[in-house]
Amino acid sequence: MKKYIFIIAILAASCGHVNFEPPKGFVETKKTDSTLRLVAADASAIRVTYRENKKNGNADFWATLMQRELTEFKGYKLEKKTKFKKSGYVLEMRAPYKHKNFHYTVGILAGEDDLYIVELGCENNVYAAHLKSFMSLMGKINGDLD
Amino acid sequence: MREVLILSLFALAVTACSRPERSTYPGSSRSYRSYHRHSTYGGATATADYAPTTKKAEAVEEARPSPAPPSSGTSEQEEDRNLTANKDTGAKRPAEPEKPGEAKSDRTTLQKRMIIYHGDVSVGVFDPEKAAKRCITLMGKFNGYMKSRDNNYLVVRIPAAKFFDFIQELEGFGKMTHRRVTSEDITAQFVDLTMRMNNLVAARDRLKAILAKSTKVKDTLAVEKELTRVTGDIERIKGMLRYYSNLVSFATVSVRFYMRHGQHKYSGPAIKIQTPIEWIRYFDIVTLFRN
Repeated sequence: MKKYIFIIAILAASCGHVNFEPPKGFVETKKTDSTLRLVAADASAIRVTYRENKKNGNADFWATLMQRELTEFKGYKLEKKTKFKKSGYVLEMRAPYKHKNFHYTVGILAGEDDLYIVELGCENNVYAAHLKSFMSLMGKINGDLD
Repeated sequence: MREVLILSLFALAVTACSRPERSTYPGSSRSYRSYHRHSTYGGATATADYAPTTKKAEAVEEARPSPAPPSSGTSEQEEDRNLTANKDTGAKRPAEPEKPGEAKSDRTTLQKRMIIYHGDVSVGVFDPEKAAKRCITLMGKFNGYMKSRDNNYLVVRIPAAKFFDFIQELEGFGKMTHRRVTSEDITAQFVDLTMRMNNLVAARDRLKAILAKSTKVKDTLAVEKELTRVTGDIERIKGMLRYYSNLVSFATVSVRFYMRHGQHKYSGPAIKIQTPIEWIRYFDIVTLFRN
């Protein structure tokens, strides 16, 4: 009986869509089936959100939609939009937060059935370092998609 | 001599206080007709009650008496006579001494009808504030003036001759949903006052003649007292005549501009439709830092 319970527990733990190891300098603070939240000591945050992809929902579609929402409705300033490997985009933006301009970077990765949105929010002085962590996490997720 | 003076004063007082006979006024329809038939009476005025076209408005203008004369360097006596003469014929008559009997002939020489026009309109516009400003510009163009303004409710005075043109111009501002034009014929009152004025002026002339002849202090005081009363009455009537003249010369137009709904053109920034995928709206730096 104990053996079965142990197997079920292991299966349940590995069932989520956001089972990724936190990158260097980040600690996992929240994890659900579809959301993973990581926080750095300097209060920077990374959030990974999983959504089931829809028919024809490729990375271009989701990146355009996300860009429109953030820049045209929320007033964020897009600084750079780069393609990430075959099925992803990275939108580097500046966002106002508590009367200061923060870096807000959104990565979109779209597979056939899965869609991942990875966000990074941090201050200017730590952005370069955290962007590396962010990109490494994006690479991991992209590897899972493949 | 004293009895003669007292009798004269009494006769003068009776003459000055008596009003002209009502039956000869143009107020009633019968007297109006007889008035209309008079050779000197302008035919244009008979149809000037409501003249929406420019042509008719011009007819009204022709029929209007000229405004109260400005005080020139003439004597008080001449000024009074000119005032009544102007109201009657629109031309300055030479100042001649009048006899009480002659006052009767003035009734028949009255050529113009005195009509006070009042307009009340409501205009639906897309921009009431802009329309009100445009109305003020138009008022200036028509040589009118502002009586009062309460936001987009304006009361303006427009020269009576241009009254209908002004209303017509207002129609072009938007959708005119309410229009009320009223007129009040005050010819009877005006003639009445003019007659009384003429009588009083004549009475004053005679009193002055008597005063010149009087030798006793008591008589002089009595004549002067009467003279003061008559002069006061003349001034009062003169003021009323001027007031009526102003009312006739300038029509009052109340204009209300209100917001017209339904076809309002949106002139702000282009409206964008937010994405119908709700969870996309969730992504935000605020939510990222919060949880």
